[in-house]
Amino acid sequence: VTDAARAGYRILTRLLPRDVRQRAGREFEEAALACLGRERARLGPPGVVVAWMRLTTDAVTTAVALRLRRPRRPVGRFSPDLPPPPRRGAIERTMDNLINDLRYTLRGLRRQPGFTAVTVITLALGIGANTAIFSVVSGVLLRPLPYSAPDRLEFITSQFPDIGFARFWVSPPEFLEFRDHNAAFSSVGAYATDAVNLGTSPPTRPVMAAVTPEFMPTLGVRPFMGRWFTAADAVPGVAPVAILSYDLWQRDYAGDPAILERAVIVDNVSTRIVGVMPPGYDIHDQKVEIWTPLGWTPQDLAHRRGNHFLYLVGRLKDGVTLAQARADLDGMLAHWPEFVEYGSGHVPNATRHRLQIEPLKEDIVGGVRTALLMLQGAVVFVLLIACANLANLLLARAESRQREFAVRAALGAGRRRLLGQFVTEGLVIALLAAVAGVGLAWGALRVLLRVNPDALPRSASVGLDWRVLAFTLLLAMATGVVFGLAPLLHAGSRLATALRDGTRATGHRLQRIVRGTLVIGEVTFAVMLVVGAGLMVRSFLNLLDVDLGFNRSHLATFQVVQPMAPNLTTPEARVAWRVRVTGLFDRLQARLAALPGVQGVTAMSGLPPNRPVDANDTDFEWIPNMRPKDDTTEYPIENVDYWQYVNLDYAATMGIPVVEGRSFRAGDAGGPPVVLVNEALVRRFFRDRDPIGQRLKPGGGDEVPWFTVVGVLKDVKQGGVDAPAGTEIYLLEDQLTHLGVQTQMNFVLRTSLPLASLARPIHEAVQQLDPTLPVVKLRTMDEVVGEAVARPRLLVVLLGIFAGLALVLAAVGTYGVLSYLVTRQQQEIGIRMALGADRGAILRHFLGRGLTLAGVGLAVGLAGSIGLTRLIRTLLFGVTPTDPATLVLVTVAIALVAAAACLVPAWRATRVDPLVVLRES
Amino acid sequence: MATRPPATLPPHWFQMLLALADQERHGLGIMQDVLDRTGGRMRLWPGMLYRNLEQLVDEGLIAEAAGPSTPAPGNPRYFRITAAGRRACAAEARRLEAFVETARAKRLLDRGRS
Repeated sequence: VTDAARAGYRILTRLLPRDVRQRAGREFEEAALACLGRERARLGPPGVVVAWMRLTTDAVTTAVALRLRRPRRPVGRFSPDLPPPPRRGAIERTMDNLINDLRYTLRGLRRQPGFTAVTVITLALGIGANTAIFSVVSGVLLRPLPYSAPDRLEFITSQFPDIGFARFWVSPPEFLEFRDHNAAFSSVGAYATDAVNLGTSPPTRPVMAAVTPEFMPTLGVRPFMGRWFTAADAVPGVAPVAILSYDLWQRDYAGDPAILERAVIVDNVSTRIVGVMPPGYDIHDQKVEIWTPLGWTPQDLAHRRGNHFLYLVGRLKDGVTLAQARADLDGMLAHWPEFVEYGSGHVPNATRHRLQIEPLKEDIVGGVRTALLMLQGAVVFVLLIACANLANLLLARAESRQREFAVRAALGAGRRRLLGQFVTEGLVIALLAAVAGVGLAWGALRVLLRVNPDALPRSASVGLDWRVLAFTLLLAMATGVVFGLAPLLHAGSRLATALRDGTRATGHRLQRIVRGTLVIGEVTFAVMLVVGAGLMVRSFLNLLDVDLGFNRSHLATFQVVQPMAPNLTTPEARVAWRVRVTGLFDRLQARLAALPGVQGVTAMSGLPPNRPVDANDTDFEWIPNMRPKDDTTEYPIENVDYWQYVNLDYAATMGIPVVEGRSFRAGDAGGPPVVLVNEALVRRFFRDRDPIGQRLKPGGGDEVPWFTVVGVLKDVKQGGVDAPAGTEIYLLEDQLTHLGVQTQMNFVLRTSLPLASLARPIHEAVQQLDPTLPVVKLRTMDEVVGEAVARPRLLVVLLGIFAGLALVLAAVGTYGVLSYLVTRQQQEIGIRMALGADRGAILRHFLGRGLTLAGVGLAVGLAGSIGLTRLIRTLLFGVTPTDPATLVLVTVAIALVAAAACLVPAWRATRVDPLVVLRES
Repeated sequence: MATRPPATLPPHWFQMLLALADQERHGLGIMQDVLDRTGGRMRLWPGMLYRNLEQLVDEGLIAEAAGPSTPAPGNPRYFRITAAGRRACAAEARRLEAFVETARAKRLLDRGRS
């Protein structure tokens, strides 16, 4: 063993300078053996591995340090009197060469600071953009979710193809039946998110997730402090408990270590804290800050079959694949009636009411994958353009250094030495650029995440981690080698001819072709990027142009939510509570309306333009509930997307036009039940009937009276700016005695005052009515709409920057190549002019050369973009991937930029003075 | 090349000088002595040892010595501490001693046991 170790270490000592090895090699070996023994005694067998790793790094650092430090002794290669220089080993020679190349390169770069700056900055932009975007891709798409064995976690949702819901919630009985009867999952938990009023000072409204006791063990993360929920916590009616997120604990309770013995006020109820989540723990990127247990009594469950509000997360059993789990689910769907334990009817089946399984991560990040991959593609294009530019630059530089290479070759430098020199230069530039690029990326990421924190899922996990740095390093090495080899095209030409002066031709054919190809490539990539950016800009403008259905300027909005009632057993108590809740909203409205500078106030249960769908069963009078046997009419499914609870001034304050009939009026509160509908609902449910006077019942049951349609409002966007408006009914809040109480209201103020001067009076108005109520999300309506389009805006801005960068780089590249051509051909131009060529011809000649290259690039780029933009079809809105207007606009823009880039060098060619040129040669 | 030793000795230089304070040793001997004295905490590696010995020689703190009449296997180089090395080592020891005194004054150390 000792001999083997000695032999192994002897290989390592080959890295050391020869004289050191000869003098002290044996000492190194003895010391290394001692170290091996020492580490084995300390750590056992693994110590040997550790020791070898340390011995290797130790030998490498020593080898480098000794060589950098010691002045080289004269080897006397050319003196016949001295003994021949000692033969040097291959590794040693390589090390020496590397260090020489490095010194030489650094000296060269220092001597030409302009060249160095241009190359490093160009490449740093390309590498920086790639690093920044890759760190987003890595953090969002590649990094595993922060749960244990996250790839075994699946997300289970329901599907109602008939109503067009591709991903819907699951009802509690369905959850329990799935949990108890599936064969594929080792555990399944359910959760529902909402928000709660938290009794901090001032009160806040953090996001809350109600979770079943199986939920956290399913995710497989340990609590930071305390415990998870137990089955006993989830029994309705027991003393309430909650778990805090790490952030909330730190922020509102100053990281109080005694928090586990404290009670906090959640929705006006004293709640004991039993645990603290680990930092960064979240579900579905909802920024959950407080967790409560979720459970039902069997009586409760019996009439909750249609109550869809849960998402399920399941952990696959070991060895079970997603496909097997899906097959198991299909089997369950075929026999679901056998599993029903609670209530009856509304049972999942294989067609109209399905369940589905998809990977949890896919569900969280699937929506941004296309966008992120598009951005990554875009920055790769930018980098390629930057590389093409650099290759051209190095090519030109190599040409001016031809004599130097020839001299070196004549002195005995082999092809391999020259090659090594080129690659070293490329690598040094690329690594310098990588350092600058990482700095750029770091800054860019900070700006990006600060300006658009919510535009991307999982933004908290985006950062410059080892994955990103490894990516950057690899990228830099690859680019360095590639464009470092570009000058080889020159070294390939006969070097001897370069020694003879006077060979100032334009370089041979190969070089010309390479140069031309590089320009064409740059223009091609730039065109594709600009087309993509153009399409995204048009999509974004279309989004901004969407008619939301209401007048959003000069609107301020905030939310007030009163806690759900505690258990109200008597009808009298329920009435009293209802009076209290609606009374508070009414008084608040009156106070807001009295504020100076406020022109109108209204309140609504859901705030447009982006809120979750309600999908409530709604009974239309004309659609028969029991269809006669011979009736073959296709009736629409009686389910309305949005129920909007509003008060009197809703349409007027929001600026929503009444299309038909009338809006609510003062007398409606005490009068017969009336309802407003939107145009989409008329189209879907009334078709060619006159909507006015039709009757519908929000929710089934005999206790709910018929509501008469008295007016049709213009469609208002509710499910997102880019989605169809959906069907909607408007119910007057004051008429809701039949429907329970609406505890959540969004107030909207029409005012020309800035938000800053409204904030104080609004807070005061709410606090005076009830000091436990937080003012939630006080914003202007423009900000609300801005948040709804935050992601497309981020995409547009980023792609715009990259396209602009690409365009500038391509223009500089084209300019550079043509400019170089003019300089090299001055002699030829001079002779031509001396022989009578006019300036126009010279101008046309060079302009033609440049524009031909750009034209070819443009054509290839347009063809490529037609192929590529199809991939981003899902990101576009209101514009086709081959939008002719965009393509024409891009063509014109690129042509103009190319013409400008070519014009300057071409014009310079016409300024050549034949006398000067001819005299110089 | 700097001729004056740095104001405070790096800990491993201090330990290497201590190893040579009372007798001449070869590199491996220094390594073992340092390891034993620091309770296994300061682990030197061959290249590191060699580089530091060279630097100590360059700084004039140690010098190569003839070694014993029966040298260790492999005929290694022996080193001895120079007068300058002795001074530097003592200065470092005094510097450390001052800290120990402070610690005592602040009752961090049990005086009775020292």
